[in-house]
Amino acid sequence: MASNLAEVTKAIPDFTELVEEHQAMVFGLAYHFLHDRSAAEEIAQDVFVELHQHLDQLESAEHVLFWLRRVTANRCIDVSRRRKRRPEVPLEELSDSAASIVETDFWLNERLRRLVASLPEKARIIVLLRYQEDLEPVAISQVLQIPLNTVKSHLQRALISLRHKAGVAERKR
Amino acid sequence: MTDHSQDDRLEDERLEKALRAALLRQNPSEDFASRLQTRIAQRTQPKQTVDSWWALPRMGWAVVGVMCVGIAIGGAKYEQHRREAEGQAARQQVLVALRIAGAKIQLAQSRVQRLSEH
Repeated sequence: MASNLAEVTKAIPDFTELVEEHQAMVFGLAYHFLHDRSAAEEIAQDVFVELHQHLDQLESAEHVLFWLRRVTANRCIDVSRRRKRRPEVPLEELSDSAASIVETDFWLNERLRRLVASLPEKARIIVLLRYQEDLEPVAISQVLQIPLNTVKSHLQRALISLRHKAGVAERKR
Repeated sequence: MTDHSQDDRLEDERLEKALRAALLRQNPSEDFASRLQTRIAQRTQPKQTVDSWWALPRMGWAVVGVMCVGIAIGGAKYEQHRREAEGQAARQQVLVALRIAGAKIQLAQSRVQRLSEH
């Protein structure tokens, strides 16, 4: 409890340190969301510029992390809606490939990333916060400001569909 | 049923493990931080380029504005002077005409007087 309190009330590092500490998180979320490096860099830059403007309003290192995840998630969704270059594939229609989910090679990772990037926006960001950031559904609902049951429902449906599309070949063996 | 549930759980675990491996945090380009610092520095500096573009002409515009006002005032004054001069000239002409007329009347009066004396 004491260590948690210390963690929560830890002073905010200076801006340069914050960038160094969180750039992989912010860029990672944006990249996995859009599957586009240049667009992800632009989003990440925008997020940190906004952080610089709001830094005096943030109260702790933990608050900064929470703020970054929320702003990054919102920006990703906004950019995705404006672009609509990669049409969303409903969960039921994700591409059917014979890749096995047991294998963890580069191509499987890339295929999974593409599958995740084709999920509907809400499901996509929830999957990313769950598996890139290792957030529990309760924390995800706080970041995205959506009900917990909605988070759980999206997560469950996304996993079912991803499992079905990525794991079909495994069952057939 | 139990086997199927266990299979499902195993599948879920494998998928989640695969997702965690595929969705690791990613580093941006090497110059990300330096570009960010440059961008922030440009935002926090006064907008020199925009202001400087306007600054000199803004001074120039002020001078031009003053000159325009001066020209307008000068023009108005000139116009006023011109009208006054025209009015003065017209007045002079009237006076001359009156003098001429007056002189002719006097001449006529003196002739009439001489004729009446004879």
